[in-house]
Amino acid sequence: MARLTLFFASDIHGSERVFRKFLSAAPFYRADAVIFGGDITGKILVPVVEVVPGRFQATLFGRLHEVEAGSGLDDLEDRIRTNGFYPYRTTPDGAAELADPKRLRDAFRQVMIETAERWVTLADERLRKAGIPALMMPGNDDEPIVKSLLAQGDWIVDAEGRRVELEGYQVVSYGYSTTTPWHSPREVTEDGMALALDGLIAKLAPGQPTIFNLHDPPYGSGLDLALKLTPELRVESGAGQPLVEPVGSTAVRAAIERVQPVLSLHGHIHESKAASRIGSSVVINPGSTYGEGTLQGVLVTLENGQVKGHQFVSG
Amino acid sequence: MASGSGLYQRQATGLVREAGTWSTLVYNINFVSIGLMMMFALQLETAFYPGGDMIGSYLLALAIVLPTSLVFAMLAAAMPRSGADYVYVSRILGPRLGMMSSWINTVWWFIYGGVPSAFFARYGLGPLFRSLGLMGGNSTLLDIGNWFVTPEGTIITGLVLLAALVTIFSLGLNAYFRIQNMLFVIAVVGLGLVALVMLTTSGQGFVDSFNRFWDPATGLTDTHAAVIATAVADGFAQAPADFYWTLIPITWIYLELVFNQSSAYIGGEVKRASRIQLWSMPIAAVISVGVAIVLTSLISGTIGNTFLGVVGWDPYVSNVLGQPYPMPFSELAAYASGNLLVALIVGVGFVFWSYTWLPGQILNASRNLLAYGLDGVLPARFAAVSERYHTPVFSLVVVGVLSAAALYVYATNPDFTTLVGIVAFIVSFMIVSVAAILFPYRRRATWEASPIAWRLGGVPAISIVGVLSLAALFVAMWAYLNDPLSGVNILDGLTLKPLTGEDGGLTKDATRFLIAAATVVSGLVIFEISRIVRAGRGVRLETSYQEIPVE
Repeated sequence: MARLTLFFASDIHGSERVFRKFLSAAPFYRADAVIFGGDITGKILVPVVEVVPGRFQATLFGRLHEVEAGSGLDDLEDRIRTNGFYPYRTTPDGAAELADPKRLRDAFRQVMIETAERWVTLADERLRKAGIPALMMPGNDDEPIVKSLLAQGDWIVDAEGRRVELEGYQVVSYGYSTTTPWHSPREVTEDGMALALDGLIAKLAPGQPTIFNLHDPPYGSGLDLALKLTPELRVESGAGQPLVEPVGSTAVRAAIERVQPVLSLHGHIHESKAASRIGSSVVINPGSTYGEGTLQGVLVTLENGQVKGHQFVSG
Repeated sequence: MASGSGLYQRQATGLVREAGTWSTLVYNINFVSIGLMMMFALQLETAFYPGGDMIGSYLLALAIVLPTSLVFAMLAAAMPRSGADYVYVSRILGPRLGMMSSWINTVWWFIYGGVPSAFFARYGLGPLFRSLGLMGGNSTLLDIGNWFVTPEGTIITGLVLLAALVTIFSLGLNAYFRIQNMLFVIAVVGLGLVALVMLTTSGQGFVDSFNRFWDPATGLTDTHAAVIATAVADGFAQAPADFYWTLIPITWIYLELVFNQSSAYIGGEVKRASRIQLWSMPIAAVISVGVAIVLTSLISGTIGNTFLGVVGWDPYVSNVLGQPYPMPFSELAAYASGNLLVALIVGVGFVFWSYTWLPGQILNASRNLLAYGLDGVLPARFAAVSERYHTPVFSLVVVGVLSAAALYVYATNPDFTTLVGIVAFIVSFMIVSVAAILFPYRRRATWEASPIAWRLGGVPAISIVGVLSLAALFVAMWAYLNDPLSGVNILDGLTLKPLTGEDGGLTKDATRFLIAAATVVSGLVIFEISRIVRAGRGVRLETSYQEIPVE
């Protein structure tokens, strides 16, 4: 098998700037293929209110910004997107309606769909032109509709829930996570995770080197250390140090121990950038700093069915 | 779903409430160590810097530290990541300078690991047992106290402390933090008691108490007067307040105060933590100096600068008291109180202050090693996290072993001066300040999207603060190179002193300066070696922090 260099990143969470970097990453790092590990959509919506015709207001990081339509508005919206927030243009009445949970859900859905559709088109154009295979999937924070939007891509591949061939390797992907304190849109119990992974593993061709692309990291691997939270979702800390605890999936870990893929790629826990081994499997979580407009990823070089080396990058 | 501050959140992972505000402030104050900062000012400025005004020195040190504090606070707010300067400088100026800046800190955290672990016995346990022994008339406690301050006692006690901390950190941090918070409360209560004792004790009352406990030990009838008289005969002198001699000893205050930015190293990914970072660092510096000024004034008012000075002078010159190191102010307060319980609380509180740098040094250094391991600059083993304990055991042990070696050298070799490494730290802070100046220009999008995208007169505020910090750091560097006690006294004003002695060899100060300079460039050497080794494996290390073009 020839040498294959993969670029893997995850947890972009709506940051336009980081997504565009993801699309540029393969030629920049001379990678042969890209894999995305889930969580493409944002979590925060910032109303950009047209207070008088042609004049807009938005509050970002506690500061009120007032700009004219045109380049000022474009700059402000770019700044909002760089942080992984969705700008949502509306009227004063529309902004007031966001207090209604249903109306807010609709607004989120609208901006998520608009953004995801635009990104899929952009990804198809860019990656087709570069000739870079791209496997993508939604994560636990993505609404179910995101999967169908990714599936509309004619170059990028919605890899979730199936076996995909990639330069002699077989890749299986699954973007759900086990339950979180936030009740995100795509969560399963540990039993549900085990069942789903069993189904995926059944699709694997025996003897062919395997790559896992599973959003949820394996429990207790060092890839899953998250801030320890109180029931009120406050970070627990002592003497200024935030406390951490493992929050990964035991079912994911069991699947890795059983199948022993050559490589297992994960995301989900942004602060737990790490690489380790579970048996003979190299397991990696590149972490995420999408809120700073930075793309964190990992370059993995595979050769003869084995991981030859990896390099974390932050671009 | 939730709203607030003009934005709306949907239910998604990772959206947590504010990280511990109080804890972050405590963490930064811990690293400052108000106790040690005061101890150095009270025992050294009064003894060896005639004309120095301690309150003036605190305020000058604060003015010099604050711009650097703001640089770290603003960068931490813009890039709320663990790793501090390694992340900031790598992203803004590139991985070579990032490694250089970060490695300076890491290597001196190893070396300075030997300092607080020695202080633990020298200024913490030794004085505690000595005062309890003298006040209680218990010779066993007095012998134990005297043993702690011997090189043997210092090394053994320091090794036990290092081993305990590395073990505790390897097993997980939760238990440690409970103890640490409790000790911090005792330490603060101890400082409060010192203030109370000073408020309720007259100058003559202190003299009487001191003599009551020390006359039996020295065999003199007025030890207080004898210590002063001998010191004066040996050359101890005081002088009217002088700006130069008030500025130079900021070296001892800066040594602690500049580390108010330590929470930058623990970053965290909580977005709103950026606000806490922004104010907790400068506020920690201001609070520390405020507390030190109040307590120093009280101590100075009761005990008098003359006696404080001779207590600092005595061990190094006259040695009437027969002690190898000066008594910390907590011990003097214990004698002033004349009360064993007060002595116990004040002494135990100062034990905390004596080593309070050490936990942060070990944690920060091990985190840096882990980051180098992750980024491929050091072997991957440094990035290994124990599956059982979820901690970087290997990196922690490496830090512990190197700190133990430094402890041995510090306790046995007087040429290892306390202040020598700070000049290297200052170079690191200078690099961070340059990164801050250039941040809005080299990482424009990140700066514009950050919560610190402020302008003053059209110029990015962080660039202005960076320039101020750089200027302040030059002043600090000048002070260290002019300080006769710094161990790197190679300047006389702005003139270079002779670097060779009469024997033609380098002076000790020049040698120490060159060692510090070598540590500054050693990070670059490590990076280049790693880059070559990794290139052989098809990895381009230099790309690790390069900005990917958006289009």
